[in-house]
Amino acid sequence: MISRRQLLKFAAALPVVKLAGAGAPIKQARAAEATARPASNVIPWRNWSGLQVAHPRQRVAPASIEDLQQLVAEASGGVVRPVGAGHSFTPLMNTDDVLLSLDRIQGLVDYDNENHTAVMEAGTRLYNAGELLDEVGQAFPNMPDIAEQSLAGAFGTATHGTGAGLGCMPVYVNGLELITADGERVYCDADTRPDLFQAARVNLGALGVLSRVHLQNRPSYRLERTLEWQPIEEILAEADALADRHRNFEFFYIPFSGWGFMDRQDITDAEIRLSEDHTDQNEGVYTLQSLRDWLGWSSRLRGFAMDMYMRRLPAEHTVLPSWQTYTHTRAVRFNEMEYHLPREEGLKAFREIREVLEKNFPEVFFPFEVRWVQADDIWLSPFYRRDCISIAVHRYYDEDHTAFFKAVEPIFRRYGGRPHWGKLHSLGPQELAALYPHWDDFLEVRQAMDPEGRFLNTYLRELFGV
Amino acid sequence: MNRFWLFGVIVLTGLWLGGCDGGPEREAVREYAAVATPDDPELAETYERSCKSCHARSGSGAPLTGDAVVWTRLIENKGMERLIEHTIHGYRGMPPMGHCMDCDVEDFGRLIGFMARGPQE
Repeated sequence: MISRRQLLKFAAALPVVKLAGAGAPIKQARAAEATARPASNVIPWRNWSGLQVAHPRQRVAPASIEDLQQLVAEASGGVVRPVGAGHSFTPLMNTDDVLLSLDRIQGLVDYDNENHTAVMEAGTRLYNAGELLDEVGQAFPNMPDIAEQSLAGAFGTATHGTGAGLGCMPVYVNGLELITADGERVYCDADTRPDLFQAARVNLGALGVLSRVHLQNRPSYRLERTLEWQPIEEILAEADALADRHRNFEFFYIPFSGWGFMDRQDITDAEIRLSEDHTDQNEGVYTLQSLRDWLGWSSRLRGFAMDMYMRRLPAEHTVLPSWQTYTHTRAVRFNEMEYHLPREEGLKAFREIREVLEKNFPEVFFPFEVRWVQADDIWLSPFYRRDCISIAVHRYYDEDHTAFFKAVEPIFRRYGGRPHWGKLHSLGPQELAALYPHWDDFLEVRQAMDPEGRFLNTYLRELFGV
Repeated sequence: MNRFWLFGVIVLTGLWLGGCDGGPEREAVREYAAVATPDDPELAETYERSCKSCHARSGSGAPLTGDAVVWTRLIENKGMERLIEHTIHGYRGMPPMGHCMDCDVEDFGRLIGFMARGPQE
């Protein structure tokens, strides 16, 4: 088999004609931004990718719900924004006033194995949450692939995994607890304050600070996972049927290669098994970056090299507890745009995006990710009353994403896409109101919960048009 | 032979000449990194909820806790001030603030100091 190192050695041996400007613009912007920092000793806060920056005058991490209540109630003016892992790419968390980390409020509070329910602190990171639930014999019905997110962030932005018969994270919640702007602790579920519950299931951190989540889980389970490389046209021909056939199915496409890989997962009782031919996806991205750097001047040659490599990659089979199968640490940072499209339109949009990319953006090397998500009935869920295909495009964190994302967003919109709340998009209140039938209902609940707008930063005010 | 196929020949030659993957693993360092925790309870709490998710796990790309050889080289080459700056702003795979949203400069310095110490120190 051709190794990754061999592939890179080949690429490095060729004439050096690096793509002009592949990474320059954003570095210049960062340098300018650094010099524009306030002269005080305030440490800047940045999101995970580094794209968003703010200079909160106070960064606090309360150690208990009671401390959290007191901090919110006593925060002397200004905007309070709760933050988890900072994995949102939009300016959801930006504040120059009070940044509230929930990192010290993590853990399993209570559980009931008869009904497979559990109560967890909302600051719990997903990698911890999965393990804690597994220890008491429970598991999330589905999970996203980023391990670092907090439960509050995952619920607040309708974070999702993949599975045509599985909903996004907030679908599997029975009740929520929030700390309101005056420090009061409120509980809501389908019967208790049902409007608040509907709004709070996907809340953008705009109603209060999500403090606890009451989860509807299932008994813990193992997943058998198969990763298999195929020409993208073969994947496209069978993808939708495979999404129905397998509990969790998604595929990735590697730009300019003509190849993608499918990720299929099903529940099993088989023994734990690790793949002997494990592909490190983080290393894989750096390989694609190197190929872009060395061969980007010829899409044909770049595609030829990748084709030779990818057609020889073996399938990988693993059996692991579900939470270990779903979540991964992303050691390569990026910026991302993801839209959720009506299921019947998703693959058409994929073809158009691929065409635009491969015609106009040779500098792009990050794979596309294509997932399936089941419809739900949550007011601000992008999956509200429609089954979706979610398509995500990425650019390396240190390279300018704007031109590429600007070129593909009209395609997403033409097919009726709704943007992921935590990922980059350009929509404002009018466009969003047209996409969400309960937009005004949500705004009404928000106004009642936080009439002074203490949880509204500039971005949220613009997003909501308030 | 047209240019495209000429490059194809170069591809095959390059691949044939390429070396093989592999290298010695330092099992002791990995084992220590997986279990190491600061003596100071407050620092330990911060380490557990921030640095540990990457620096205790081999393969994350981050220098492992207790890998004194790597950390000494980093500190000598870059200096502590620059390492703290990388922590605050993010550096390659390392996210800004190193997952600790409430840490200050002193906290970052203490955390780096702990991770840079080997098991016997």
